[in-house]
Amino acid sequence: MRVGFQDELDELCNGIQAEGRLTAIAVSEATRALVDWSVQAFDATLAAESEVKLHYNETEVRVETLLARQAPVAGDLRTVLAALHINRSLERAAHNAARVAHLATPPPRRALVEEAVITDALRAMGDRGAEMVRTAIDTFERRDANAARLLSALDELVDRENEKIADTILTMENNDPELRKWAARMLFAGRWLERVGDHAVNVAERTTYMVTGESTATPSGPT
Amino acid sequence: MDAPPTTTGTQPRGLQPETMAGASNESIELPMDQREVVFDCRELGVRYAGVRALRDVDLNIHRNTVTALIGPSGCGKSTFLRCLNRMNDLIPSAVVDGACLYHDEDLYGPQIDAIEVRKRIGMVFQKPNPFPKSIYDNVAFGPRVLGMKDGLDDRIEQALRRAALWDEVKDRLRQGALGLSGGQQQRLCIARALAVEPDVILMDEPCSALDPISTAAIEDLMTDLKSEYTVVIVTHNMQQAARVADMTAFFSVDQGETGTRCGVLIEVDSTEKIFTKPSNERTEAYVTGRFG
Ligand SMILES: Nc1ncnc2c1ncn2[C@@H]1O[C@H](COP(=O)(O)OP(=O)(O)OP(=O)(O)O)[C@@H](O)[C@H]1O
Ligand SMILES: [Mg+2]
Repeated sequence: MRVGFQDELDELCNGIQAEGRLTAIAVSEATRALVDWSVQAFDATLAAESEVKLHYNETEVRVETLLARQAPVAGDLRTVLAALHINRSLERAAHNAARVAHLATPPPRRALVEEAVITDALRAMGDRGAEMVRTAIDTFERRDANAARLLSALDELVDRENEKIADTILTMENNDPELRKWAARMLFAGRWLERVGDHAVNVAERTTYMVTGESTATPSGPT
Repeated sequence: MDAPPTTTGTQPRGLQPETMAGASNESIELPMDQREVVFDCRELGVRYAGVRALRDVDLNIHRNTVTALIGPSGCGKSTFLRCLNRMNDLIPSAVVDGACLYHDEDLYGPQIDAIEVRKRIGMVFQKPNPFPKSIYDNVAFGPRVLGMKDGLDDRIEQALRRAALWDEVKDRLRQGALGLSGGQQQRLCIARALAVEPDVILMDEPCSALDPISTAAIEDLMTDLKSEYTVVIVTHNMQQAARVADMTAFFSVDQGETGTRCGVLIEVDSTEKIFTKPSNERTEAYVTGRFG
């Protein structure tokens, strides 16, 4: 029944999954660009981000067409609405990854403990963020209603790393302007990576809604 | 306590003249579970010539509410609707069991006059069925039969206005009703039902023969009508149920061991719930169009 409609829904979900995988790649490449100053990784981040954008636009059109022509209801409606939100989250996460890559710059190599602490924390955040995006998108693919809690727990860890970065920078006694400039960039990088975690949580929460109809989502800002 | 709907008894709530005069109704503001129950059906069922067509329907229908009945063909929607105004009495083979309380009175109790019931509980059918008479006489038919002769012109204008037809026909009231378009004829039938000041309007697929514009006019009308009446519609158009109904009841067919098919009520809930998050997977399969 409604074969064409089911095909369109499948296409929509497949598109989201592909977009999610690319977003995870963007995040991990951005992390490599940020902490290893890899030009190759920088290019890979931007390439992945622009592919995510293409998927994002395609998904928008698919959602629009499905709503206009198929008038989905019940579980189908929830799938379409979840796809719409998840699409946005993934696009934002990939955009944040690109912002992170743009902030990549080597530290002034004062060999300070602070430099190592900050870099390690960023690496941890980026790796964790990429893993969270992958987990969230697997969750969507499996239609798993229960992963949102796990992702929230992982997000706590990301937030903690971010706080560590902020604390380190704010309490830094060294007044070297080069170092301060670098630290400011890393503060922003931390901020964008922290948002990646939030977007991954959002993907899992929207998946829970899609499966159960129960909304656990906490509205998050537009970044 | 309401009086039973007999010809001699006092009128039950919802039937007093001010309902026709457009008295505002507080009930429409209330959440569903606090609205007055107009029909309280308990284990309601119907057999035709001994063959069960519908069983065990437990359903409340609330005042100032549009309730939609949806479900596949043959699941007993029309059968159920006809229980609500005793139209099944007109089918000799039909036997109704269980209880149907109307304003707390047993609709099938011995003291109830079926004619009076059909006056209180009007019905509009799938195909517009105006009489081959003038527009005026069509609307005047019920009031005349029931001896409601005072202020007939006013009553007819009111009914036509309420059915959103007045402006289109006010200059041709004496012309034949069959000259109206299908959508106008259907609104005329609604006006005819309204002219006797009913409490409830039952509509069995009222828009299935109509174009989208007439359909929209009748859907608007249903929304208007619920401020003063209680509306129950049968529809095969899911989007129509989603648009107009406050409550939606999904009926389906259960296949017995001996291969007998019988209509059952699967789920009733707010329309919003039925179309976003139905509880029963059979409802989900039906509303999403995957019904096998
Ligand atoms: N007058 C009748 N005599 C015998 N059987 C009847 C009669 N009316 C209905 N039935 C049977 O009762 C069952 C329910 O019919 P009903 O007309 O109530 O279904 P419905 O849900 O309104 O279907 P549809 O959507 O096609 O109008 C069907 O099996 C039908 O054949
Ligand atoms: Mg029917």
